[in-house]
Amino acid sequence: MDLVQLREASGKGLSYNNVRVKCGDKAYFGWYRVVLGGSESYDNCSVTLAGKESSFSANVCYRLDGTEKYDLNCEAVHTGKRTQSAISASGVLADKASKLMRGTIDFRTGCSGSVGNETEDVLLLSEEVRNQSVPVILCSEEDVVGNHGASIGRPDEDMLFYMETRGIDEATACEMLARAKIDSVIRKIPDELVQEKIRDKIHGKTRQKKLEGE
Amino acid sequence: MKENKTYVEEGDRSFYDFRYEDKDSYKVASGLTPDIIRQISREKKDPDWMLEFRLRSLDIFAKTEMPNWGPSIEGLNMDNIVTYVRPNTERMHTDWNDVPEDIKNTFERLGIPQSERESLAGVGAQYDSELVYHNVRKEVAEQGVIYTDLESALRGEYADMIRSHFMKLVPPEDHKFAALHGAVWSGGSFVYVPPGADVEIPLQSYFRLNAPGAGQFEHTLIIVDKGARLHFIEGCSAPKYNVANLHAGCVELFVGEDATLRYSTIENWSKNMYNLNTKRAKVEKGGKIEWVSGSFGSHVSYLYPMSVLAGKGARCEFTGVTFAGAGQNLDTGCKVVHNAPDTSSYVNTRSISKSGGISTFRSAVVVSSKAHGSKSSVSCESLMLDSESRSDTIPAMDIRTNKADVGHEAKIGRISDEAVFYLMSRGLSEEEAKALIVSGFAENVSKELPLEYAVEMNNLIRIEMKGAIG
Repeated sequence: MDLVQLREASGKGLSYNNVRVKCGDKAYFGWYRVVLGGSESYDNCSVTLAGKESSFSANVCYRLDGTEKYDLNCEAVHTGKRTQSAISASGVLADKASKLMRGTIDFRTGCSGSVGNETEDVLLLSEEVRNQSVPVILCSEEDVVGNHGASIGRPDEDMLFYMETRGIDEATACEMLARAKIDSVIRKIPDELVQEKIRDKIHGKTRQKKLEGE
Repeated sequence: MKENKTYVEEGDRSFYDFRYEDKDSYKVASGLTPDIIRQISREKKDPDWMLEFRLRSLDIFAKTEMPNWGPSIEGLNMDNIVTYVRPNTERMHTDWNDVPEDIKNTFERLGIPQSERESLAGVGAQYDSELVYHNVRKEVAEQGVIYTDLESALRGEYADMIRSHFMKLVPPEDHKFAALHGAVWSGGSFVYVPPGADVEIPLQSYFRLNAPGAGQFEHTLIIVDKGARLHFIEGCSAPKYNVANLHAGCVELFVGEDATLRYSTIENWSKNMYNLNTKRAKVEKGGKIEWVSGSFGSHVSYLYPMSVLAGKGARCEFTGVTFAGAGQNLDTGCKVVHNAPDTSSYVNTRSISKSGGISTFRSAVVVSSKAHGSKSSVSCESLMLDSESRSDTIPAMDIRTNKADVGHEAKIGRISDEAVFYLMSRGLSEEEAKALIVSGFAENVSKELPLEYAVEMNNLIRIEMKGAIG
C-alpha cells in the first residue's frame, strides 16, 4: 500500500497527523509525506514490520518559511525476519522556520536478516532557522544491518559559484536547489498525476511569495 | 545456523581483582548528612569557602531528582555508600619507597611505577579517597609545569586560581551527581601548564578504589595556558565486591588560546561499579581538545565528556570505544557545543556488546547562532556479538545557523563470517580471529594511545573476548 499525504502551504493552525501500520508477511507500506507549510505541524508515522520479508519506505519532504514549525516522528519497528525499512527525509528551512525530526529504526530480538536505513538531508537558507535531528538506531538482534546518515547545512559554495558563473544569482540558485530537493522526493511518488498536482501547489506557493515580496 | 555459532564466555578479569584489607584506613559513616560533610571538610583542612560550597552542594543534591532517562541506578543506595575512606598513610609521598607496602604492591601490580620510569613525565596515584603518591620529572617541573594534588594546591600559591576555576565548568546545579561530587569530593590532581610550555611525554593519574561499598570522588582540574601542550592520561580500576561501589569524579579542563590538550582515559572499573563521572572542557580561540576514551569496566556508566568551543577556531576531537559484556549497561558518548565562529568537531566512536551487555551511544552536537563557518562530523559504529546483547545509538543535533556544515553517520552490524573464515584458514582459532577483528574495530582508539597503553587496551579486549567455544 502507498499513502500520499500533503500539508498545504495555506494550512493555518495546528495539524496533527498520526499513522500507525502493521505489516504482515511480504507486505509493503510506502509513506509519502509532503509538507509545504502550515504554522505548526506534528506528524507521527509508526510502522511495525511484523511479517516475514515485509518492508516500509518513508519519503518525507518539507519546505518551511516564516515562523513555521514541523515536528516529525517516524519509527520502523522490525520484529519479523528479513524485514526492510528505509526512512528518507529531505527538506528546506528558510526565515525563522524550525524543524525537529526523530527517526527510529528499532531492531527487536528475532528480526534476523533485517536491514534498516535512514537518511536525512536538510538545506538551511537563513541564519535564523533551527534544525534539530535525533536519528536513533535501537538494536537487540545480532544479525542485522542498520545505517544512518545525515547532512545538514547551507548550499554548497562550489555549486553556488558555478551557478553564478552561468548568470544565475544566489537567491535564484538557492531557490532552484530547494526545489530540486523537494522534487527528489516527489519524483518517487508512484502516481504521476499526484506528482503534477503537488508541483502545481509548490508553484502556487512560490508565486504567492513573490507577490508578497513585491 | 545456531549450532555453528561461537559462544564467548566471560574472560578472567582476576588480574584487576586482587585486593587488600582496608582495616587500617579511616572512613566516615555511610550515607550523607551535613555532619558527615563537615567531618570530611575537617579531615581535609578545607578553607572556609570550600566547606560552604560543600554544604550548598549537599543541599542541591537533596533537591535534585535522579536521572530518569538512562540505565537503571536503583541498585545504588546512597545510604550505604561510604563517601570518604583515607588509606593507611598520613600524607602524600613524592618518593615511591615511602608509600605503604600494600598500596605500593597494588600499583606495582598494575604497572604504574614501571610506566612512570619508561614513558611518563609525572604520575599521581590515588588510593580510595586520597592521593598517596605524586611526582613529576625534574625537566618538566623546570618548564614551570605544576602537577600536584588538588588539596595542597587549594592551600598553596595557586589557591586563587583553584577558587576561580573549581566547579565553574561543572556547577553543582548541573545534575544530581555533580552536586554529590561538590559535597564530598576528595583527591584528584591539579595541573597547570604555563604559556608556551610543551610537555612532550604524558602525565598520568591512576585511581584505585580498594574499599568495598565506598565511593571515589576525585576532582581533576587542568589549566593549559596560551600556546601550551599537554597529554594527560587517566586510568581507573577496582577489585570486584558484591556491594555497589560508586565513582562520581569530575574533570574540568581549561584549554587556553592556541593550546592543545589530549585527555586519554582507559577505564576498567570492576563490574559492581556505578560510574557516574562528569568531564567537561572549555576551549578558547585556536585551542584544541582531544579526548581518547576507552570504557571497559563498571556495572553502569553514564559518561559523556563535553567540549565547549568558546573561542574562534577552537577544535574538538573525540575518539571512543565502549565494550559492554555480561551484566554491564554502559551509556557513553559525548557533547559538543559550538559557540564561536569557525569551530570544528570530529567525533568517532565504536561500541561492542556481548553476552547480554548493553551499550548505548548518546551524543549531542549544538551549533549556536554565533558559530558561523563551523563544521561538525559524527561517526559511530556498533558491533553486536550475539542476540542477547543490545546496542543503541541516540545522537542528537541542534543547529541554529545556516552557516555551518553538520554531518552524521551511524552503522550497526555483526562480525562478518567471511572475515572469521579467512583468518581461521590462516591458522587462527575462531576465538583468536574474533578477538583480532574486535581489536581492529577498536583501532580508532588504540592508535591514538601511547604504545604501552594501546597494548594494555588490546589485552583488555582479549580478556573480554576470551572464553570457550561452544
